[in-house]
Amino acid sequence: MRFRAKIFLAILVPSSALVAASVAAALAGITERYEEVAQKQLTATKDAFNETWLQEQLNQLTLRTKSFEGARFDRAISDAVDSKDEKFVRQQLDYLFQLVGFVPDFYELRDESEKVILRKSADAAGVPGPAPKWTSAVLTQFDRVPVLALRFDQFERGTLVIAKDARPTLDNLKKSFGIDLALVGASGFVHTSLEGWTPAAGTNGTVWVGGKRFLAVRSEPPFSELTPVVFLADMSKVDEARRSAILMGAGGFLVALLIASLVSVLVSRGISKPVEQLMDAAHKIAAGDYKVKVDVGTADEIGRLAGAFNEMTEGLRKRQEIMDKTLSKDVAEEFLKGTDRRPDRRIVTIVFMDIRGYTSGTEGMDPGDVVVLLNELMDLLSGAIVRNGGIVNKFLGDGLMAMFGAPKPLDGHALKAVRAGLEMQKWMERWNDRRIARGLPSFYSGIGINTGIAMCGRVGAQDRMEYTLIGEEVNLASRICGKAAPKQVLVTKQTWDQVKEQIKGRELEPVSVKGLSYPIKVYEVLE
Amino acid sequence: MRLCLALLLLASPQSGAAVTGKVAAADGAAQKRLRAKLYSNEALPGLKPADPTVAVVWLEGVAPAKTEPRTVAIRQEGLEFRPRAVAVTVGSKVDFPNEDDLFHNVFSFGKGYRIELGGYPKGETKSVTFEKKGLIDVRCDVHKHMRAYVHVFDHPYFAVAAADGSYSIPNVPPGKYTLVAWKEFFDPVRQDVEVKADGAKVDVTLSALLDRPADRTVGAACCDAR
Repeated sequence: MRFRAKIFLAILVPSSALVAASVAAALAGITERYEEVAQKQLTATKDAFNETWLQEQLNQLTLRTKSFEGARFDRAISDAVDSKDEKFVRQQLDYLFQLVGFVPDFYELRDESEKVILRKSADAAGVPGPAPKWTSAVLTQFDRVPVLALRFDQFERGTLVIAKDARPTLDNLKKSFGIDLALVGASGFVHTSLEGWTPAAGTNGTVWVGGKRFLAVRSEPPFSELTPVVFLADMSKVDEARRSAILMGAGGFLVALLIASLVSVLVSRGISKPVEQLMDAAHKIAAGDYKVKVDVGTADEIGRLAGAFNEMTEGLRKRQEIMDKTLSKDVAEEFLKGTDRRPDRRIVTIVFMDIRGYTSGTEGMDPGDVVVLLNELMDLLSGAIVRNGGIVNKFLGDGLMAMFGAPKPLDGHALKAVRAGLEMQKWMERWNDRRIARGLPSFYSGIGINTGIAMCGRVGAQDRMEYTLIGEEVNLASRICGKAAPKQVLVTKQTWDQVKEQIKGRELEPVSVKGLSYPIKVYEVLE
Repeated sequence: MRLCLALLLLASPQSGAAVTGKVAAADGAAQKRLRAKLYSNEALPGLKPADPTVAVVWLEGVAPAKTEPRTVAIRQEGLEFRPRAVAVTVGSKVDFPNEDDLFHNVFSFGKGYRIELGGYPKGETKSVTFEKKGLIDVRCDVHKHMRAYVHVFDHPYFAVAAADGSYSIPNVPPGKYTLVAWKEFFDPVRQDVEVKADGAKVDVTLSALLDRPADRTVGAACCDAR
């Protein structure tokens, strides 16, 4: 998996999960709270109904019908029981009701044997139920109409039941509390404030009416013949709120997902881009380009990494510079080819240079000044070698060894070496002229050049190696150099044979050199 | 009571024989129950229960005769009407003086009539003139045990029995009649009686419960409340 994808997921997954979890938690909390509030309200309404509303209604009824206990009613009821004239009795009762200021919506008159003599009912054909058993005001039904009723049985000749229609007050209850109510009697359903809802006696808990959810709670209030009384809280608003909360939650989740995606894309890009820059830079450095600089433009860890990377590059660049000075590019490349390359046998031209009069010229000089002087000179001379395609193989105190044709093959290496030798002498002469003009001591060098087969390769221990040439011809070049006079460039016959067409020179007396039993031919090249 | 008897004794303009006898009444369980029900919530201070209601006796089948209107009183005293029953002739006036410290509420109603004397303070009197025959029960709306019965006759042949039940209807022309004996909480008893020159003697025993007291509402448009 790519780095960017990892970062993307690392941001997206936890943030989305967090949002989803918080949305779910909030949702659960809200709906649970809603349910709790509705249940509490319902219970509170039930209690208010039982303990306050119903009691108050019944008390009012009792108080307002106090005058029914008077003897007039007794007398009227006696008349009613005795008389067959129903119209007359009704007139009497109506007169009395008006007299006491309380006209019941319904009433029922029974004689002492509980036989119904007279009744006023919402249902003309209503079949009278059994006589109520209570003597205080109660909530009951009168021909399936919910009523607040009071029974008077203290009369001499019978019993009077008066009833006040409870429907208007029940409607008020609905208006005030926003809660629906149903009354269920022993013989079944009596009243409901919600159309289409006719609960059975056992109704409790969750109820569905017309596709809406309601919360029901049943109550068995004292002073009621209607049990249970079922209260109903409309939960459809809660369900609606829950639905919208779910929608909002889902919307919020999507928005959060979108934002998280965006942020993670930006962040992952912000992290991975500099990493890619660093990668590119590393590739370039691997290819040898030390000038590369990474700028990620941030101060974070990646920025610091880039800074460290740049420092590293700078360090590498400096080391490369040193390498360039101490190790020629071709040699370096030869090293880079591998560690276990076998040495080559190759025809090369070897140049040795040695400064003459070095020791005497530097007498009385500060050793530090001598080094400066030498460096100046070596700069000059190695420049001539490099310009002619050679490689300074090593510096040997006040001399140097250069090679042409190694490690890379070089066409006309002998000629190039000879030209380099001549150039070196020329540069040195100019340098000396400047010193002489300033009254400083001058130095001169002898140069020896030989061409031949040499072993080319790395020499040394595992941890410190150098590329060099080994062989008789190398030694010969060194010996020839030793024979060269100041300002003189001597070459062996092998070299001379290669350059004599282009270079002027002259043959000198053969010289004897250490390690060889016979004298060898040498030539002084002039230009 | 004494006043009523005196009035009756005085009202004897004609000559004739007297119907005498005794009305016996024994309270049975039914009467006791009714009485208990009537007085059930009357644990009232100052209540002095009335005398056992006297019986009223009269003759039926007598030709209507002109009578002199009288004035009698039914007092409200000790949370009772006293006497609890009176018998008067048509046109007579009954006074209802209040002798209690509290207001009573005297009323009666029935088919075709309504008496509403309402409440009034001690020392005041309201009166009712009864214009038609019949039995009117007068009550107090405040105290349901308070009952008074006004018997109105269009003839003089009636009597209110004494405390011991004995009665006497004087100056009855000889002939065959029906004697009716009435007492509160009892069914009225009817008995044939033949009055001879020396009169007649009829003893009556009341025992049954008054379950159809139709007789007490015989009066109609009876009176004029004043």
